[in-house]
Amino acid sequence: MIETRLSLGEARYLLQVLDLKLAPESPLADPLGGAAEVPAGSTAEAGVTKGLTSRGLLMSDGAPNPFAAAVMVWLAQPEKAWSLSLFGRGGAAMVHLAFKRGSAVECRRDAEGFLLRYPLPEAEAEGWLRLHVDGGRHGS
Amino acid sequence: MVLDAAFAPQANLGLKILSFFTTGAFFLITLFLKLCYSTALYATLAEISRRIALFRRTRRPALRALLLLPAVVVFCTAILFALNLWRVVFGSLNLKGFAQAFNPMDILWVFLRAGFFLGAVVLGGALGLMVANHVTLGRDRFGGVLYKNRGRYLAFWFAAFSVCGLFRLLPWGFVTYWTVWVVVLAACLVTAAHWSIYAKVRSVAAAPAPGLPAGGEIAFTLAAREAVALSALLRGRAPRDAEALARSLADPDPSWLAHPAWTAELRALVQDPPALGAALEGLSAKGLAAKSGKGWTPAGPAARLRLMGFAETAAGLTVRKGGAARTVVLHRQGPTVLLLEPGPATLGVREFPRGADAVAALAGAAEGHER
Repeated sequence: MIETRLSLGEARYLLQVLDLKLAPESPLADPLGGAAEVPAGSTAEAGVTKGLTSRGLLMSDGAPNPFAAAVMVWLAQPEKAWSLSLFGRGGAAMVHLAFKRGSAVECRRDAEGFLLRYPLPEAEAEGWLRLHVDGGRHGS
Repeated sequence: MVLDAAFAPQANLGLKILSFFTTGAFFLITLFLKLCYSTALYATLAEISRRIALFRRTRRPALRALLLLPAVVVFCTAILFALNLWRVVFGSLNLKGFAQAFNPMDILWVFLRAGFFLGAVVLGGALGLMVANHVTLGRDRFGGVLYKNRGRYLAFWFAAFSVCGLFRLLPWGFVTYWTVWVVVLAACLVTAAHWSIYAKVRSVAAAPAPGLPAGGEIAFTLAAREAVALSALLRGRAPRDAEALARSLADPDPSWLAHPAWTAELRALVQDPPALGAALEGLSAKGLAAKSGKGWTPAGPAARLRLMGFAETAAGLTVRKGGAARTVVLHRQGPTVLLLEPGPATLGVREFPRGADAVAALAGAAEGHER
């Protein structure tokens, strides 16, 4: 699986560049639905593009890497989304799966932004759920 | 004679320099000890205040806090004890008197003074164990350990420490002995109590959850109002009338039967006890509540559900598709697994037979097809 970390600003910027609207099912709808766009030509945009380019998520011409673009499409406009909330002695956690065309992207929100892991075949979603519910640290 | 007279001023100067440096070293050591004492006192106050605020907010004891507090108490007491050590052990004997007037009676007196402190240690330890024995432990909804602790023994230590610190600043040596004695007793009390509570919390946390005893299967569906009424019923042990249940709903339990869409229902029931009475009648008709002369109590599967008390883990899965959302929650305690399906209008509660694949059922129920 590929693992990618995105800050809130980076995720907002990628949505903006790809001109994606957030579907109600999207796991990004809650944290990014009301977020303001990154102003073009601003220092904020320069910081975001520098960070994304250094990690290979933006290409030299400023266009998003096809993998990053696909992940954002999955997250912004999924056909279906699972939101799993876990509670237990080890604390609480929330993790999302965004499904589209038989594959899924895992999205976990933390203080710094989002941790994305992909691809997960839809057929393995139940195994993913079992791993989290039976073996998650929330129950330790 | 001429030579002696010539060297005498130099010898005096050497002694003066030595005396100056010795005095300076003693001054610095005393200053360091006093700084340690003040720092420890303020650190204790800050730490105790922080821990009390945290405990009031969560009522969850952090295991490290249980051991950290007596560590701070012992440290502060040790500093104070060290500052008073000479006066406590040797009384009013000063260094000059110690060298000249030391005799068998003085030795006996010193041993008595020092030995009497063992009494404070033993008595403090015993009192600490007795205090810990009266601390009751419970479980929160997710199996964490809660305890009710009024902390009076901490107030006792703090008062003893303050009085002792005050008399340390004053020149009354005879009072200092007893104030130090009491502060040692209080420190031993706090230490013994907290180590004992720590052991109790560890043993309760490590005990395996028993799960529900065998009995009638839990499987029912309720209207939202009935679910809210049942959540109030499950919280108490004694029978209560509709008014008392309505009052308890003013502080609802968010973890058990709550659904965001039920907030309006909950408010309506709080303000309208007759409506709550109607919801309770609905529960009674389903065999989930019983009314006696003293008030309402859970009955049948609901009475068994109340025995569960807490869930070790809970997993909520929300599936969003085509603008609709469906949430299913799995509660586990030992071998017992409950599946809750809170919807905007209804609540389904189902117990799984032991050994059933609950995760597959969770996924199936959330996706809208039974397994």
